[in-house]
Amino acid sequence: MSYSILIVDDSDIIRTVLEKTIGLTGVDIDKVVSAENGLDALEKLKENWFDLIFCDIHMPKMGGLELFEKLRESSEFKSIPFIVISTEGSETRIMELQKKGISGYIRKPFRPENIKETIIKIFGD
Amino acid sequence: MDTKEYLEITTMSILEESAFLFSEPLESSPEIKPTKMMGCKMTFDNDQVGIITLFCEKEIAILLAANMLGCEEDDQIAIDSAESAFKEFTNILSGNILTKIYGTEVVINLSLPKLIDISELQLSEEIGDCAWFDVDGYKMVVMISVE
Repeated sequence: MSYSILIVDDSDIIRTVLEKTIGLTGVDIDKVVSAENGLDALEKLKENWFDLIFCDIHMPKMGGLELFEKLRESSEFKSIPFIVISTEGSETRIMELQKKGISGYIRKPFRPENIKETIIKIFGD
Repeated sequence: MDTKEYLEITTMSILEESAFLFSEPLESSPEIKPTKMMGCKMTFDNDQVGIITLFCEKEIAILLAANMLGCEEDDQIAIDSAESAFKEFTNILSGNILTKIYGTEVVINLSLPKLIDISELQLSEEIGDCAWFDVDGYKMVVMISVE
């Protein structure tokens, strides 16, 4: 089975690095789609199904938390695993995100192994 | 540990972790050519309000991009991605500096990174703590000021 992944980050270099990293995991990837912010991600979700979302928190127009909450309200999208990738260092905030139901948290700077481990954990080897 | 030490240790660590760049702190402000520098700032607030500012020679931004993307410094994609790399580096560094200084129990609101003009360099140096670095022969300064 091949998987589709959505990357949501306002930094184009992070989107590029994540795309490359995902491609090197060895997991069968159908497509990787990028969005610049939460609003852009919602547009992409109208046209594509995704098996996993990697998402930054602090973005213009719509941040990651707002996007996550909107997806949770949707019967169609609420089950998609949502991994936060952020510079957020506050344990309080991270715990709040985990209580809301995110599937994982990766702090920047991240190693390729962090991404690979997360993908394998979600999809299996 | 004082603020300057936090700036030094965190910057060297994040340069290495995010872009495989090794750096050395400088004892004093070096001579620089303003036309070769680019700057970026982020504001933050928790109980205190402040600004983190970075200035670097443009070659460092290209190195950041090249190393993050896994390409050569003279590849066009590295040159085109330099500003994005510098902003993202500022973002990553700022988040980590603030965690080091204030700890992991404090909730800190950090702005989006914003590129700024070199004219803000002198003002920033005068009002806060700063640390200068040599990064692969090029110069960078990291500054934090708290109101």
